[in-house]
Amino acid sequence: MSSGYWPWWLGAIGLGGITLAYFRLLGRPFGVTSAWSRVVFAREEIDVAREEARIGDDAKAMEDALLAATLEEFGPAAEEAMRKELASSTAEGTTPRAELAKRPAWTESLVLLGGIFVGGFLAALSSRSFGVRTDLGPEFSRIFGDGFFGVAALFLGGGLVGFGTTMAGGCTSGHGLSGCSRLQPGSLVSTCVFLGAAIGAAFAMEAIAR
Amino acid sequence: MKRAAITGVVGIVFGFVIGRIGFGDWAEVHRMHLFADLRMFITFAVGVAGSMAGFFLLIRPKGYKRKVHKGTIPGSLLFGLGWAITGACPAIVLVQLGHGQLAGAVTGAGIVTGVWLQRKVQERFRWDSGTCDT
Repeated sequence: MSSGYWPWWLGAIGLGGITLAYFRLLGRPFGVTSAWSRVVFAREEIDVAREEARIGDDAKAMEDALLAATLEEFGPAAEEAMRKELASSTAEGTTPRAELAKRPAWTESLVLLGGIFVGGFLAALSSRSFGVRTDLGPEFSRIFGDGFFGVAALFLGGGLVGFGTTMAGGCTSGHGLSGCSRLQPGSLVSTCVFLGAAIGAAFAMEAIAR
Repeated sequence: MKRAAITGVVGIVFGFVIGRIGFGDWAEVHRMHLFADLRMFITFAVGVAGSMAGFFLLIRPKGYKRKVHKGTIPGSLLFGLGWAITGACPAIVLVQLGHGQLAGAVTGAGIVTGVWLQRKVQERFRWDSGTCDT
């Protein structure tokens, strides 16, 4: 290859090191999809924080307020169901409270996304490959052209990336790096499927462009 | 504040590493998907193997289970298709922008739209996102 890209061993040390360092330092798995999601829905988090500040952080008071409101709306029959619902909120199938407590704020997620951008910029500077341009290179243009079709493909493709990663609950970092290296079944399946889909799509793109 | 600082440093190092590996280069990603150049596949696989060893020998993590749920396979299929077209995963798109590739802004706008739309569709049909953390 003509490129000055890092050899496999150096890149592997980088990717593996970041996956381990993030978990060691912050006590939760590294993943970029959840960061996008939190930034996109920052508004919700801000509203929830405002409500919580209004009610106070007394969980019991919150529970009682919910019960009172339910009783008023549906009558006493609803009370037991409600108690059950509240008691089962830490049961299997939902995220454990210890993990919820370690969720980053949306501002931290924004810092992560900003950091990746800055890191990309530094990588471009250090490898002398920075350059403002509107195309993605001759290979992309060969398949998608330079006009409206290429732009539409990028927007729709980006939509698939955003929709797909949040639906699958992770992406190349969350499932591919963090999940696979902890041998999580959902991550192993997800990684095989998205790599397989990308490989299939790349071959299909070549076949259509030819 | 401390967690935000750590997050920022990890983000910068991560962006730098994937930039220098070549993931921000559409053609390089395309060649990887075509098996025309296995360097980045090997980089990724060895990186995972290394952190696997680190997790099992040093960190021994608990919790953060990732099960197969209803969204796992269809979501991953859509993501793989989008990755092949745009050359971007949610991190790579930021590295593309860091390299001055303005096309990343179009992909990024698509990602924001897709993330938003997925939440709305999920709320409508109530499928399990698996993590509650997306």
